[in-house]
Amino acid sequence: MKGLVYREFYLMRKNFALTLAVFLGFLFMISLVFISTYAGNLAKDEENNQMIASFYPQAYLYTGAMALLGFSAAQNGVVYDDYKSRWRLYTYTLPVDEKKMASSMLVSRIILLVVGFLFAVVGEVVLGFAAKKGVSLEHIKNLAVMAAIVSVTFITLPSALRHKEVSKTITTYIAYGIIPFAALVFGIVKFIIYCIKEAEVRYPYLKGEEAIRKVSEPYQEKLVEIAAIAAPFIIVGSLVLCYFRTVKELERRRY
Amino acid sequence: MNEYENAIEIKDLTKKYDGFTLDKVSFNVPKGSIMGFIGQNGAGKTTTINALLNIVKKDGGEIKLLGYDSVNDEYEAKKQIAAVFDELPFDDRLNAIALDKILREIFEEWSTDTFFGYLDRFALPKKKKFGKFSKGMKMKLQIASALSHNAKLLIMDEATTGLDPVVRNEILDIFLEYLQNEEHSILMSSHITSDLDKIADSVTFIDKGKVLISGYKDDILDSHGILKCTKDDYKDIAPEDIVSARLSDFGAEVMVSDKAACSRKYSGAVIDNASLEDIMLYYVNRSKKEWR
Repeated sequence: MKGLVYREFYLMRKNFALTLAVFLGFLFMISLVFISTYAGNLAKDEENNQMIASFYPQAYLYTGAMALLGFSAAQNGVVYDDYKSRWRLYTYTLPVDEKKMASSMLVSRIILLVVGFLFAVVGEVVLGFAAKKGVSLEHIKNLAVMAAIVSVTFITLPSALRHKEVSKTITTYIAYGIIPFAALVFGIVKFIIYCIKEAEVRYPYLKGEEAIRKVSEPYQEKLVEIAAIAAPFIIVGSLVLCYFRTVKELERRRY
Repeated sequence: MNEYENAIEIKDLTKKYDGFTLDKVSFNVPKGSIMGFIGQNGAGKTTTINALLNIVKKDGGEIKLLGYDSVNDEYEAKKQIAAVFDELPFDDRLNAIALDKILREIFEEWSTDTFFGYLDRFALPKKKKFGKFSKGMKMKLQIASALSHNAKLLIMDEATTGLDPVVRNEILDIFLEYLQNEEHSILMSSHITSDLDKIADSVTFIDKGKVLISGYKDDILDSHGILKCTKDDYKDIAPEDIVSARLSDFGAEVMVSDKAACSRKYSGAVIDNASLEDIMLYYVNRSKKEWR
């Protein structure tokens, strides 16, 4: 299995390096913006300071998403390239069973997820110090929730093996995902409408956006709490589902 | 250690697809020999090889590789088997050093020294990406990797197709060297019969999913011949003696499967030796009986 994992990482090293470069560049830029609010040309501008104060709580989410999604996606092309290069055909002649092959693919994805999470935490640490706010454990908890959500993308692996082309996999997931996505959007819209109405009743003295935030905060905190508890189960569940479906797909012998 | 007489034993192998059926294919590859597996395009060679390697699931029949059952003891068998395909199955972005690191973790008996030794012998660069290799270089690389883990059985699927005669000759010499060890065997599928003329000990000819002939190459070549006669004389030849006949305005060329008997029966007739290519051509047209 070591050889198969090594192979996956060897083939994705350029994608990995590119993602790392983009991530570090973005992190550097945002850090500079934060630093300039007290040590640069933005120091005396009150409006900019307020904008940055509202941006800081979100910045770690952008860098976190970039790290988690970017590193996890570095491997996506390998499955498709394997069919083009006939490596997949060749693996059936090796003394390696489908369980080991599936495990090697999953181990690579887990390593990338962990690396993405570590870089996301690095992002939080750097931004925290750049903004002179220190490291927030709450933020790290949120990044862990984000990692759990990203781990759900593992289940695309069996589909990638089945369809052999990126376009077909994407089409399949759009077809399956369109209804749940529509339901999610509907739910979010309903929630926003509820928050607006409650804000008018509960906080008539506050500005629109501030009042809505005050109404939605307890629900968001509760959701994050639930998600943080569910995160390990989501990750393990995604891994287990992905493993068994991948083994089944490899056993189908699509030749 | 597993004792066996035949490196490959195939009995009544059946595989059905829409429009094609591999129909009770049976043949053996004796240990220490090289078998040429010939047939035209679409005859069933690759399907048979894929079934041997359990790349496709067979619908019926039994297969043994090096004495192991090809399904129940699949991984035990595959530790000692190397497959070589017509195209390089390694990603273009890899190089030989990376390939060595990958395969040495997969094969227990992988030898880095042997692998790099073959690379030096074939003058293949170690750091160059495979995408920049020529077709001949890619095939030599595949063979180098196949010979570097002490495989007792090489299975080659159209491995020499598309190679120039110089490279083909080089590769055939390597196979002969490989067979110096009596524990080693080769199954080589090809439609380039001249390669098999040179090195095969035995030959199996498949057409439309059925095995037509299987046996020692020399026996097959000795028993078959091309009887040349006029159109009038052709009418006197018994149908059971004819595999198929090629008719022209000047006469007939008849493939016979028992040259010695036909020499006695049709005294005065000229019976030329047949090559594997001739045999393949005439057998492919056997259903027509007469063709041009």
